Amino acid sequence: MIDDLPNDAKSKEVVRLWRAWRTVHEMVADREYELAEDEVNISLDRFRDEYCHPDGTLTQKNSRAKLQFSARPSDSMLRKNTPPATPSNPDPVPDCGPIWVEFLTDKQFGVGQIRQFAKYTISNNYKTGIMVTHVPLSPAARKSLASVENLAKIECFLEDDLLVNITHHELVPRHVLLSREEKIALLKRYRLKETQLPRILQKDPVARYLGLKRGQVVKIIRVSETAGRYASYRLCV
Amino acid sequence: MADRSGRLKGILKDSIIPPGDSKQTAREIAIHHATLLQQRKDLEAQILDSVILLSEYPLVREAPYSSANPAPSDVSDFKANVRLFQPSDYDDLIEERNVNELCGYTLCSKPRRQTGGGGEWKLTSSGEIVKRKELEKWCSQTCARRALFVKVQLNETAAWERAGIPDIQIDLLDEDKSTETEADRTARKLGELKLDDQRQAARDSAALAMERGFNGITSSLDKVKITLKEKDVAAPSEMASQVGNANTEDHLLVDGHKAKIPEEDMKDSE
Repeated sequence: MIDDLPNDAKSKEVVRLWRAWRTVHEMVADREYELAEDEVNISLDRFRDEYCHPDGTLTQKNSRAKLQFSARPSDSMLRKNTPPATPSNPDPVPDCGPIWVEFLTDKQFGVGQIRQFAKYTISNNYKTGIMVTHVPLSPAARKSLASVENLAKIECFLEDDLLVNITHHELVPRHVLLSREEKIALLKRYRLKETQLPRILQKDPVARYLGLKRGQVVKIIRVSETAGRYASYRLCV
Repeated sequence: MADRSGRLKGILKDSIIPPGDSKQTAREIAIHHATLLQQRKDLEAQILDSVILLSEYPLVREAPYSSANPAPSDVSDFKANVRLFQPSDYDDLIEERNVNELCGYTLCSKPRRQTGGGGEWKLTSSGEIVKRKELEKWCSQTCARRALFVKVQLNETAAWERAGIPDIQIDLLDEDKSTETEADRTARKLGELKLDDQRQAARDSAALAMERGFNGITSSLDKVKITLKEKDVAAPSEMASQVGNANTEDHLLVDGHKAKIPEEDMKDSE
């Protein structure tokens, strides 16, 4: 896939960007947001046509400003994220909403840039914001993300980390997010408290990929030589 | 099963906590720990706010004031805000200031040094090889010294363990005390003077208690009621006296048995 590409620096940059762009789309699609098939599987040529200058170069300012998109949650995702109805709350609202993804080119990330991004995300009623950056955030900026957590969930990914889709690797088993009903059924079936489940960290790469929140349960399906398939469950902490 | 045997009886000893009370105590302990955690979170948020605030300093940037001679208002703000920092928080502050393209020293208004392109390492004028990142943190070597002078005074201890301790004072490098007037100096001296030894001692002990974690909430809950109960000891008085008597005939014992010589034999031998 990569071998037949020209090797000069500019097109390398374009290819890097294209791969990160694809991975982000796959990630958003895997979280069950609504995305068209051809949006996810964009070919390099089409990516060049749409986001680069005619001569194949990529001026930082103009082209990357275009590298942004939003998506709405699909019906199945809404159903998954709706808490079960209770007598006191007969008509629960789903706790997920539209997502906003943006590629940012700033050379440094401080609290100012984060606040700007968070403000944009919140004021446009997005529930989740994903920023893809070149450089890691400053420590203070990372801490300041926690303060807006109940308004919008801001996630940061490095472009370098998105060059390959980690969930496609053969050593990464399939992770499936359980809905609330499924979680309750699981705990009932095995007579567990949720703290008795094995755990997965929120900063785990796959947990970050799926955007897990504390308290959600993933079903991990591995292949097993003896049993064919082996499922285990992990609680996100 | 429970129906058949009635209440199952454990083989273990009854727990010391009375059953009716345990729920209440558990709740109290949970609330206690929750408040402690909340206090810590509040302090962390406060420190983060301080970092963000100080990353824009100094507020007064006019001519007479510089990093060597900062405005008094900025100095007092800086000292008040940096008090609770751990060294790592201070590093965060420096980095945040650098993101804002300022010198890492909080009271310096100059932009940070830009050494241009090049590799990761840089050769300084004094012939040392240093990391370019380290060099670009500051506007000059003196600012680096001033900033690090503050950093070494900061304490590794977590902020919530020393939030209430009034003794923490941060000094600045080459804080100039020669230019102040005679009146200022006497006022400062007077303030430093221990006017009331007793009050000072009380304050010291309060600070010490705080340092050791005896604050208001803890003292009410963490205390365990201790009753000292003297154990009755029956002194082995009789035995001792017996032994005392026996002592006189010790030499007659063979393996703890005293051979009794019959009376008749005694007479015969005579």
